[in-house]
Amino acid sequence: MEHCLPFEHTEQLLKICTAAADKASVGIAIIDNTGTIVFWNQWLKNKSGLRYEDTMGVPFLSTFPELINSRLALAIDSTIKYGLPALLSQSLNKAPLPLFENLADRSQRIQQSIQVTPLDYDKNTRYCIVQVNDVSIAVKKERLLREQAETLRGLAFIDGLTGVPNRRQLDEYLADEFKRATRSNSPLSVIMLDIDYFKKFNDTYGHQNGDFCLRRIANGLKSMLRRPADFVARYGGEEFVIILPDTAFSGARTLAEEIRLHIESLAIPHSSSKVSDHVTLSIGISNAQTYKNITEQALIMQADSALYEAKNNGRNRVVVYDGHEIGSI
Amino acid sequence: MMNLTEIQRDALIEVFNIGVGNAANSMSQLINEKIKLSVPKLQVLANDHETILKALIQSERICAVSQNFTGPLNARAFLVFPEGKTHEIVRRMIGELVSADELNTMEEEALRELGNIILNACISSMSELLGTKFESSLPIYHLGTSCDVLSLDNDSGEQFMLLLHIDFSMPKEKIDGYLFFLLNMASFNDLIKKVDLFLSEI
Repeated sequence: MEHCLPFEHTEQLLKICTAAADKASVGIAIIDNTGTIVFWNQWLKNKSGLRYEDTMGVPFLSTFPELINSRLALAIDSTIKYGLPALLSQSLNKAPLPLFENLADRSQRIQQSIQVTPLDYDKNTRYCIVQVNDVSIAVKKERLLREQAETLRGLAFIDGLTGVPNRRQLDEYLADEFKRATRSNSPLSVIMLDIDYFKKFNDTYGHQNGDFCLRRIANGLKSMLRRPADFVARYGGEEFVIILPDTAFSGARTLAEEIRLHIESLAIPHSSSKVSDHVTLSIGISNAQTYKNITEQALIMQADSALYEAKNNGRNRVVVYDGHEIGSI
Repeated sequence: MMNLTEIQRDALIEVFNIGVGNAANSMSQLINEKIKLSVPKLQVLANDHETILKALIQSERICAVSQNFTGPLNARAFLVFPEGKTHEIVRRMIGELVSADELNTMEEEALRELGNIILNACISSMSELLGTKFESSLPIYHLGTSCDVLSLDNDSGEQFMLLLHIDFSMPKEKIDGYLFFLLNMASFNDLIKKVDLFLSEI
């Protein structure tokens, strides 16, 4: 039994190798040192929908002009030039080649992981082999896992009753924003608010209405936030906290007053409130401008003590941490 | 001869500066933000690699991508980061939306490509300036103690190590990475000869 094909069978070997490359379930292209495609296997034909004459003997970049100056084109160039293999990961290169699972639907490309390897034919002739792996299934699996993880994560970070972020997410968000503000030396404001006489509300109208009231307040607060970075969370019970990055005292004060008026204007009946016929808020504000002697916990505590003062001073009002009171009934 | 003369050292730093400069361009394309790489330091180590690496990297475990280069001289090249430092780079490359947990799966692949870009760029500039040709394996990903990753113990014979400190400067962030080239005595001497030849021609 011969294990090596004798020399005169070269042509037969060529046929076998070409057929093997065409049977392979990965994409195999061979490009010569002028950047011309000299081989384009069946898998690539099937997935690209290109005809024989679109690829064979045609410069790679004429067939794929969108790839001029792309990472793939540069990798092919330098593989030809220096003879070093290159790797294009799916993570960093989203589907460089226009390859499709279903040629009738070109909305979604096959996800690719690509290897570019040099092939020295003789001293002066170098080809490069572009091997394309379909990683769509792996990517899809990964995306599914990620989505599940996100849902779980979302559940763990959202307050089930009101649908706004919970205390845990607040802690993370505040820590992040505090760091960012410290780095960029920009102002950061915290608003803490509490529904006036909420326990009496529950006693009067029952817990179901209490829950409904909390949801309406949470939605009311959400609707008042203007910028994507503004953040509201349920702090606990009937307390909410709003984080306002890049916001100085004056801006926070204006917004707080608007929030107070807005919630009042919802006109949720509250017959047992001693300060109004409707549900109202007491609001405390703290602000950090410089970050030498302050922590994020201190910022929350300051907003809390301003809130405490707002309640002591008659509720339904806004108090800023330095003790200066604005806005009243 | 393990000590480089000043001019040999300068020539090598120049080679690597060109290499990582090219790599930075490719990386900036991938990241879509400016990234600056520089090679501030080059050291040659002849022994006691492990102690020196520990002092240098200050991390029990390292994350590395390696390629074996063969040609006029043989070397194993590594791009090394302290464990944990790679998250930030990969996060930048993939996009900020990715959480740290899911990075792990993408990270290995992304780092292999990153290592491939940087190592290829360095070897290309070496082969250009020194007029030599290299062949290379595809990049391999490692995570472990520096001793495991570099497999310093199993190699018989004296191993020389060219060690380059690379600064990865991205907007808002600076990360220290390292390039190691492990060469045996013969290859190290060949490298010096090539450098001298290059220097005599300019």
